[in-house]
Amino acid sequence: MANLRDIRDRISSVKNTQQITRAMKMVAAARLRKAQDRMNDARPYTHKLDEIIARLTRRTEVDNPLFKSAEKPKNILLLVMGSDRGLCGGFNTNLFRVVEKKIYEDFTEHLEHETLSMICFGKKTHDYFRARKYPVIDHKIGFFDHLKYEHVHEVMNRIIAQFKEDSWDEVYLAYNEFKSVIAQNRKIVKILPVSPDTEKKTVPSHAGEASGNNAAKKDLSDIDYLYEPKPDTILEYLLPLHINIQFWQAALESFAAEQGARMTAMDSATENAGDIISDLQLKYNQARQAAITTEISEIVSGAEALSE
Amino acid sequence: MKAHILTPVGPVFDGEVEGVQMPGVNGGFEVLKGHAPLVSLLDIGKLVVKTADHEQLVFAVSGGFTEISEDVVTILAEEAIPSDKIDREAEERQREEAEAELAKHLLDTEGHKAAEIELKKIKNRIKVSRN
Repeated sequence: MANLRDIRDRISSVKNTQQITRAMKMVAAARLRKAQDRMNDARPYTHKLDEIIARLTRRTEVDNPLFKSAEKPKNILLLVMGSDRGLCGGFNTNLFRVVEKKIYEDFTEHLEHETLSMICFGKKTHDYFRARKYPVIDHKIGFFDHLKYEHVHEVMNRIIAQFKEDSWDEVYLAYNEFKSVIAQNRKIVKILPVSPDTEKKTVPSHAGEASGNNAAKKDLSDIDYLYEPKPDTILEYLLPLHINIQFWQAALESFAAEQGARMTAMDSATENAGDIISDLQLKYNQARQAAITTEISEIVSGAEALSE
Repeated sequence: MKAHILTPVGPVFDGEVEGVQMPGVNGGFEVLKGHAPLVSLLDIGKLVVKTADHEQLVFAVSGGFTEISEDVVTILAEEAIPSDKIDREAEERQREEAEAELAKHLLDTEGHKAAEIELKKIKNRIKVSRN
């Protein structure tokens, strides 16, 4: 039978753990709120950018090196966004598994011929893919701790320049999209080459018409705009911007999704801890009562022996 | 007419205006009511909004573009900071760092260009803060 002191210690230890998981849940909740605010803040900008690019790409005379698509893409770059810290449920492993599936379905040859490269965002991402000997060429740790729009330039400008120099034929971005606190969508999006398709949206479909902008309903071909400088030059500026914004949105989504996953995981942990504590308290009371019973029966039998 | 200044970190201005002065890449220009529909790239520079209440709001803009249509002016800037929110001391310190950074890239054209742009943005913010 377990010692009373041992059970008491265990109860105390589990209660401490429960405090920690509860605090982690609340921190994640606060971070999630902020992350959602940032995502909402970016939407009006993104919608407008998409609209103007769509309008420009409808004009048949515009072209841009970022549209270039290879018939047999050789050099592939895969950007994967995981998290730096754990305790977020299946957030990381679910994404990594989808990424691995994609590699084995579409890029087996590239893997063999060493033309597949990966950049890992987040310590968990880097640990996972490096341990399994994937071709990781760069990693960013602590990327999500100080997410600032300026940092996006640093990452993406070089990749865009490399694409123009034909170092990459295709660039993909894999990340978790925030659907709700309990649900994250895994997405793998091709960000280069850009498709000159006017239906293309930067904003994930679940966002809805949050911006209140009636642009989608307006007929884009109505108005005859002046362009300064030439549309080609404007597109040269807008397309890299569009890619940067896609990356920025993905980073915000991934961060929000991570907080949601952590909230859920810590919530479960807190509840489980509560169950264990109830269980232990029951055992403690049973042990206490058994001890009292033993003591009483010893006294009684001792008294009886004396009275004989 | 209405004016919206949008950035990747959120909308910076939304309201009724009489006119907007912007730093186009081919020269500064002013937009008043009834302007022809236009899409124009913006340089790093000063943007002035003349509100319907006859106030002047000045912003430091770090590049972007604008769309003018049907009496609505939309400005998408990578960065648009109101002149009264610019911390001149912090910017001066950043300017020194940026100048040092620029000196490091004398032989590297790509790095030099990027450092130059950074410095230009900082100098612009300092200039606008004097308003």
